[in-house]
Amino acid sequence: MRNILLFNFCLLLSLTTHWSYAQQTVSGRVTSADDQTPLPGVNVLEEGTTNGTITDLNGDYRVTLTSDNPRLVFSFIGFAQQTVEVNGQSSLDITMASDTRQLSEIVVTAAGIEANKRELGYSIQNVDAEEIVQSRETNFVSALSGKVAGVQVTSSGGTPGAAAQIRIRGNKSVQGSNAPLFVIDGIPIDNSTYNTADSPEDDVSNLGSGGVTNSNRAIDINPEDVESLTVLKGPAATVLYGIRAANGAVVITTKKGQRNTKPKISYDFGYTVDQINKLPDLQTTYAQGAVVDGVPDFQAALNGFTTSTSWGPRIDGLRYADEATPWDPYGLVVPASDPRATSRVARAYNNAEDFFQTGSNATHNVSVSGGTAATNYFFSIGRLDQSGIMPNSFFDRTSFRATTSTEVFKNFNVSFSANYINSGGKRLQNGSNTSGVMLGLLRTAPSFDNSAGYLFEDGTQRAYRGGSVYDNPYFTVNKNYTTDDVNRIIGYSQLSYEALPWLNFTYRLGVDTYSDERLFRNDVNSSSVQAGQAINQTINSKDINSDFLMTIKKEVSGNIGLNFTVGHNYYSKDVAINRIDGQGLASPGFFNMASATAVNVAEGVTRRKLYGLFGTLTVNIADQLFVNLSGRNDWSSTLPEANNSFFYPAASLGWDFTQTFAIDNPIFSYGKLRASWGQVGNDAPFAVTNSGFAQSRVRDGWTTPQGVIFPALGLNAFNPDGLLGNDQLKAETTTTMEVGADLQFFNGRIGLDLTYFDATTTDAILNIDIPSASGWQQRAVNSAELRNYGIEAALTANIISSEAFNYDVTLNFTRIRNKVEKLAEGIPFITIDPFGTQRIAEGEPFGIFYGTRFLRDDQGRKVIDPAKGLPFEDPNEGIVGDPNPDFLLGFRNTFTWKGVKLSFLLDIRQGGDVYNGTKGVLNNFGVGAETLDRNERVVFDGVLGQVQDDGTIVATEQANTIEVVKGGTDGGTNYYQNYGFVNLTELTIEDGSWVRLRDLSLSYELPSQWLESSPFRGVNVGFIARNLFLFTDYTGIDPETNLTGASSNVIGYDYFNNPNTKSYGVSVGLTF
Amino acid sequence: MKRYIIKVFLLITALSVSISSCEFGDTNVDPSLPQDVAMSALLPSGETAIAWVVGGEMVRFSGLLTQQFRGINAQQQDNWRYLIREADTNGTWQRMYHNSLNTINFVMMKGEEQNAPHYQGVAEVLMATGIGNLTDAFGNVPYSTAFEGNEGNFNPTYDEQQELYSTTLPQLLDAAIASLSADDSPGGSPGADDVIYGGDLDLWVKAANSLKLRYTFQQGKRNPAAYDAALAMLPEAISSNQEDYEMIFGSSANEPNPQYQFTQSRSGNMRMDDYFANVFSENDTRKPFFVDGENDFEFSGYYTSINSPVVLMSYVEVKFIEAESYLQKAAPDVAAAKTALDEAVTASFLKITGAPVPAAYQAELDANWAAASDKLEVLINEKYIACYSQGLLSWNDYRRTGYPDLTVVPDGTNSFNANGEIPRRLPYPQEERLLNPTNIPTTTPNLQSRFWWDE
Repeated sequence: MRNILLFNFCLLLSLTTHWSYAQQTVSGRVTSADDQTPLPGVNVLEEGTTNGTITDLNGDYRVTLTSDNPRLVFSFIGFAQQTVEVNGQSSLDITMASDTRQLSEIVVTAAGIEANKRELGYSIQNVDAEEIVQSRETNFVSALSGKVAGVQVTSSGGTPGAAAQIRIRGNKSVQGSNAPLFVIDGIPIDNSTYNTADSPEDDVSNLGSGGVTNSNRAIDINPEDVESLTVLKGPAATVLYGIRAANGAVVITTKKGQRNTKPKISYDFGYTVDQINKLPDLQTTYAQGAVVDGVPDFQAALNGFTTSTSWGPRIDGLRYADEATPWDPYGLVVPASDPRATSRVARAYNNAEDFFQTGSNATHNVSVSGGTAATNYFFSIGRLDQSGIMPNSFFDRTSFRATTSTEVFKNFNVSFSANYINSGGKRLQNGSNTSGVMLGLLRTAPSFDNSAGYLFEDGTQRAYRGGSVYDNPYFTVNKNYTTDDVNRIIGYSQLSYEALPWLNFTYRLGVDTYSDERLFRNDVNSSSVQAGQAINQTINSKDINSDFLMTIKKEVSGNIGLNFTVGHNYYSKDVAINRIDGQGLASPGFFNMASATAVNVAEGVTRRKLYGLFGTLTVNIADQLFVNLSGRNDWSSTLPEANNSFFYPAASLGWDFTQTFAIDNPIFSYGKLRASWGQVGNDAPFAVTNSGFAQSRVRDGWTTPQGVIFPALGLNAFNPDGLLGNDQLKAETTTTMEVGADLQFFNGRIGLDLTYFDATTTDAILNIDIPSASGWQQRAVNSAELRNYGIEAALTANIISSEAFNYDVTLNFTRIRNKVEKLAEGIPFITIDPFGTQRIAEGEPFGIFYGTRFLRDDQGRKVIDPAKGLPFEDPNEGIVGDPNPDFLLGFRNTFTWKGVKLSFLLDIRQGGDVYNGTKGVLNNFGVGAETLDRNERVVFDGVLGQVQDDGTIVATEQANTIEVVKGGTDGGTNYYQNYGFVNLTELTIEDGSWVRLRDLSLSYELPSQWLESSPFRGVNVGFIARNLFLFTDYTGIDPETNLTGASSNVIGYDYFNNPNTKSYGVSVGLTF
Repeated sequence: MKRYIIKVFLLITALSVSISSCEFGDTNVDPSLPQDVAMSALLPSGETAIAWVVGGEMVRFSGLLTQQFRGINAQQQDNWRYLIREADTNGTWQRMYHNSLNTINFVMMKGEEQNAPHYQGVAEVLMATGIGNLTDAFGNVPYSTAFEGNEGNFNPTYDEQQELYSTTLPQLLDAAIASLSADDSPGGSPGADDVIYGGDLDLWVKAANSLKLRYTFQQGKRNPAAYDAALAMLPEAISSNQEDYEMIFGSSANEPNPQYQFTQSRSGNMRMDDYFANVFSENDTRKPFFVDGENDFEFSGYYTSINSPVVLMSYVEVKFIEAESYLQKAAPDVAAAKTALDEAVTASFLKITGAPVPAAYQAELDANWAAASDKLEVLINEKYIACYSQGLLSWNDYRRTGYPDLTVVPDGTNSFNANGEIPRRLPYPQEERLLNPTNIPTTTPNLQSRFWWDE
């Protein structure tokens, strides 16, 4: 970590007092205490003036002093600052010690204000840039996983470019965004995820359960450009950012050049191979078919069936006949008893294992940085090429960044930065969608080989259920892919004027704009849209942010210091989503609007304008008590005019009690207590203050996205929109109380940062469901109350420290509990997922799973249906799971021995249920490995039920003794199909706990003496790995998955999601 | 220089503070959602939506429960074996109340406000169609206090089915007839925007009278006097196939019939049930229009082509009502019943095949009629074929008469249908139980509980 160190608080050199002389010149050399090498670029400042200089390449400086009794302040990144009395000396050589205690870490807080972490009264956590690069994640957000206490990251799958959802201190909003603000160099950037849903209105709700996995736009950040990263968690930290940081903020500072340094050229290369890390277990014993008259019957496309299930006979009981069929290259498959049967036994296939390939991920990064006396510059080019584990999928990203800063004239600095990114790829169908890769792949009967061709000569499909029922996964990857192409520019210019030593003005104007052009394809004969469709969608997003800040830093008296900032913020966001749906393609593979026989156009808009005025005052009392008061007032366009102005305050207190009590103990070396209280407001989503009419799309859940899509039948048509607006809305407020301590032991070798927080969101804005018979389906209200509380702990320890060998550990622990205290009058819950299984329910944790379950008597025993011998289903649904983990733990271990460094991160998640809808369906279909017990005779535990005349069921005391064949293969009821298509929700909820090796790197820094005659200044080679192992009881794919990606508040949802990956490879870093 | 810079910053400050007081104007209005639209832009949506629900989900429920269809995958398979969960009916309910009837209610209100009785009348007929279908599926349903969300009523109360049948719906239809008969409609009259009758008000009046007939007749199981009342209403009803109250869908990919679209989007979820496939006589030329091959449902049949009609009420149904009324009235007239039955069957053959009844089929029917001890069974068996895919008719008939004489499917017992018999109702949707708990009449889903006209 390279921190700028500004203050030093206990290192005053005792020098003999002398009378000083004015107008004196002093010079000297600054060296590092670690290795006695000269330090270039050290700031040398005459205390109390703006007079100063910077050391040259040899570490030398020369200053002409202007004041009486001058003192010089030496400061440099990563080193403890020193203040030295000149005392008339003309030569002063300084040795600077690296700052191991890191007490005066400079952190970037809200609105780009730099603060000394020591003075903060709230929790804030930095992430090492090196750690981010080391994680080798394509998605910058995924790279934060396990590295920050209080942060939970969930990637939506292993598809190239897949989104990752990030939450800081849990979910605070019911339907609004719960994603933190991403800020780069003071400019908030867009981190939206836009799904190309089946239809435009699903685009709006962004809840596509099918479609492809899209990216969240933070994926455009090149991790190699990051210098440092700070996570702001509570309102006391984020109040100046206002409502956009209501869910915390991830504040990124990018690399800059340093003044007075030679150009430094770096090249980094990484290459990994990616493999699938986990698949559900499937059976390969029983053939496609169904039980007919008590006998499993082979029913397949080759004998004229479209049967979905694999409840047929044993595959090894089937034989090939000497009769050709287009469905099987080895010939017609018949029962052994069939007269046509040969002695050739039918083959069984594990279609899922055979389908995946090895993907790869290659990154190249070149950067040039350096500076002259008045200018510094940084330039980088980054390129990422990722190819997926599913055939025909990829993601790539090219990034150019240039940042330069010049002191135009004295104390007036102008900075410019521009970052151009081009990213995109080829994405594959996912989820609840008959064209979904996993849906067709996992449901395929083991008696059918998907890979033996997916297309017949006449253009129809070769798939296990015949033609276009479920797409053959090979058809889907080759014919139904989506391409996206993002062109994005993030840039800013900043003017900063140090008018007086204690007065600074800064103005910053930033823009983040991109266009995302997508072409979504369903080829002719694709099962979800047999006529074929092409959706041409363009997302144009533009964020403009303007900040003006005035900062005053003044020492009022000997031991009271003031730090005061006032500012103004303007922010506007405009998003235009235009889509053209073309249906009924003229020719297979012709994906252009010219190909479509019916074309519908939809223009979608989201926009928001925001003004904010803010101020913050920090008082430093005797360098041990730090009091901060902050406040911000926002004016938001998304609230009704009468309520669109709202103010929220925050206060915090930090107390360095080791200072107060002069504790200077090598065992307990530093201690600070923190307490803060703060509020942050949040506005409404776009356009929920009014109701309008929507262009009609008439269809039902079974035909979506198809149906009558107006204009149609020569007419245009509208219907009242489903959402009833509310012109009385007001801002929602989150109030957070936080206490904590920063403690250091053994001279900083062990550091512990503990925080307890309790945050309650009141008046949360949500669109509650209302009875459809009221005419509308939802209305916007201010009503919910959500509480999140928990413990965050970050521990760093240097366990072994010797000349040659070092062992360091870092632990990040997060334990968050949450509860929905109140929803809305008369509304016990709202549904947040596409299938109605996940809910926000009053009195329950956020996002509990709600669904079907077994009927139990008051002693918890299952009630058995006397007619079937199977447990009854409870006619009333109930809570069956909780997706919130008990705790998260990131455990990093770093070993260094000479130039060798081994570092790995263990990522542990305890608890947190995942809805494994995939399993429910696979068992119903008889392809899940669990169904291998289909022929077993079992007696279900429980008591017999009795059906009353009125249809209700009453439990008796009589134990069940009815023996049944579990899979109903004798003609009885099939347990796996008895409870419907997706099975009982209770049976599909699984514990999503895991232990995984999130990342590992083994690197070697070549000794510098080896490089003396080479052009290189440094060479680093390494082995890198990601997700190398995973221990979990979850029976599906990697439980770190989420169907609806990062765009929604849905958590822990697995319904034929695309699987995750593990990777390993090499890295090379060269410095010239 | 320093002063100059300070001035620049002061200017920026002044500028940025001054824009804070700006109004946001219509920034928060979604330009793709107009705040108001004309009746002519609402009517096609309301009509299409109601046809979509009746001809899609309702036809599927009716057909699966009366063994016209067989579910072989997904929830259709569950529904076929009488496993119908509350969540399964959310869609039907929402699409009827929100997508269809709320739009239609807007046309009714606008018709009144804008002095356009012709629009109002058409909307009232459509409303009566929708509420009638809802009550036949669910029993007591919200109507009197429905569609008041924009006035702050989020908990609509339920209207008793008896009240709906005996008073509310007839009154609504009488009001519709009066509106449609108005000489003038200064606020405009439906024309090409009416995708059902193309603005023909006389046909709308006939549709209204036919619905009155249906709702009167449907009360016969409770009150046999209803049959005589029904017979008296016949002259005003639809009097030929050409006058059928139906919506014909289009041929483009974005204007399909709902059954067709189901065969496309949910291929492999349903087949024709063996019972239905085997019910046809050899001489029945309608079979290839309904069933393909052995018992395939996914083909371009009469009701499963992209531009197929969705029938809301047909001349064929009117004739069957006539036939059954003669048969069931206090003083049965069997000969008149047979005449009306013959006319019904003739109309059905003409509608489906374009050709009259084959002589052999007629002979078979005559013989069956003569031999039958319960002539009602012959009649309903004919109607079971002739009114296939016409909304909930087959299921209504089964519940009223017990015909056709179906055998229950295996595995039909479950927690919601404990005795395994053919369900008598759909469960109230889950959203009502959870969002309107104070008003929903029952929270225990029991598919065997009968409602008023079925008792």
